[in-house]
Amino acid sequence: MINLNERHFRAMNTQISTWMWLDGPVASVWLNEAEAFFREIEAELSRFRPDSGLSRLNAAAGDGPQAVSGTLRTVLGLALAAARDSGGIFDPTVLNPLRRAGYDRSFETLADGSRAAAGGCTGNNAGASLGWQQVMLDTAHSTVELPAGVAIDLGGIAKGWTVDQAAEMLGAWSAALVDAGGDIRASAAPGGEPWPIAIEDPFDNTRDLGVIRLAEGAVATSSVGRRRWQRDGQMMHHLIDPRTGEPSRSDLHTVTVVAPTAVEAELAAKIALILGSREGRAHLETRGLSGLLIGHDGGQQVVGELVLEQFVEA
Amino acid sequence: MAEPARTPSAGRSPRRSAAASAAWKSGLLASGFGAVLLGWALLARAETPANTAALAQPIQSQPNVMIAQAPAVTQSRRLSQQSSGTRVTVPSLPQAPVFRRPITRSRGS
Repeated sequence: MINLNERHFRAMNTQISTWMWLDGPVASVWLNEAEAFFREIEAELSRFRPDSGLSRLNAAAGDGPQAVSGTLRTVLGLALAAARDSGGIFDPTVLNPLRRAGYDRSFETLADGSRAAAGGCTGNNAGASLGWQQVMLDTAHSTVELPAGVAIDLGGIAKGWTVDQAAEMLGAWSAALVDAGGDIRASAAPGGEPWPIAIEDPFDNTRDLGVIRLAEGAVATSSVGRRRWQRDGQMMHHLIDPRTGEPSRSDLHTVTVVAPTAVEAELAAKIALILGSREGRAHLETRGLSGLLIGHDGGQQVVGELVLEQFVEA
Repeated sequence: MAEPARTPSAGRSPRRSAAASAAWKSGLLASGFGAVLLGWALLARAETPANTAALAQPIQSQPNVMIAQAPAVTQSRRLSQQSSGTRVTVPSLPQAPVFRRPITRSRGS
């Protein structure tokens, strides 16, 4: 009988869990490798660490081309491609609007959600959506040039990319599952039994809406119900609409997407949430993705072939 | 002069002794042959269609267990059985860990 080996730790300001359907020391070695990989990527791509490669790049905005690591070049390349593909609805240059909205430090260090933001909002962020087009990425020379006033946040996409890489690394040895704060990627099903993954009720985190079965692929959820705070009596959250430079005010509260990779699921969930229910649904459908859209009123729309089952405990 | 004492065997006729031995051997041979016939008959009776189905039933029920625990595997196995026609597949025991609850949750990030 083969057992599931698992590891839980904190990185990237969230809870990380990894599972391998493999016994013995080999599993421990690879689970250690996966944990080290998360920490390595966090050290390079976190915007909250002043010594990270990303922070050094942001600090050098306006100073010409900067040499960057292969990791930063790769993930930034994915982010710019996603920005192009989404028409700027996803934009990695939302960092300054995000700071102005009050998300200017790690959420773990924000003492309480009702505290006013350290920086005030400028009020007019029009034009912020064009930031991604001003980023000059030279893949041949591994350099990036940011114009003055533009800063990059790779939070969500970096997390998804790390989940994908770790799942593929572990999946070379056995069926594996990697979960970074709800962004989840499965690499094969253990013994053919798909992984049962609950979808949390965004309005009551003690409940689940149902369970999906994931044999291969990824699921991710974006929600305005988490990472939120108040500023001047107004509720703020971390999902910035690049068209306004303000937290999204669409009719969607939470979006869950099932996709081949965690990067795709994470991006599609975020984009659909910002677009709202009608355009968000179309965005998923045209890409052949399935998902669950939940409005502020709690109304649910299933897109594609997502099957939510009620898990009956054995 | 006194006559020598006769032993009982000394008084048996050699011809009668040989006949008794042959009868004993024939009887033994006949009973052995009868036992073989009886066993054959019993085996043939046990292999009637009704009993064959009863014996095979536990083997056929094993994939039903698989359906509950590993739908994907069972489905692919069924398809292979259909396409191969007469191919005999030996049902295997479930190998997957049986998840008794969701292993994790997707939540807003």
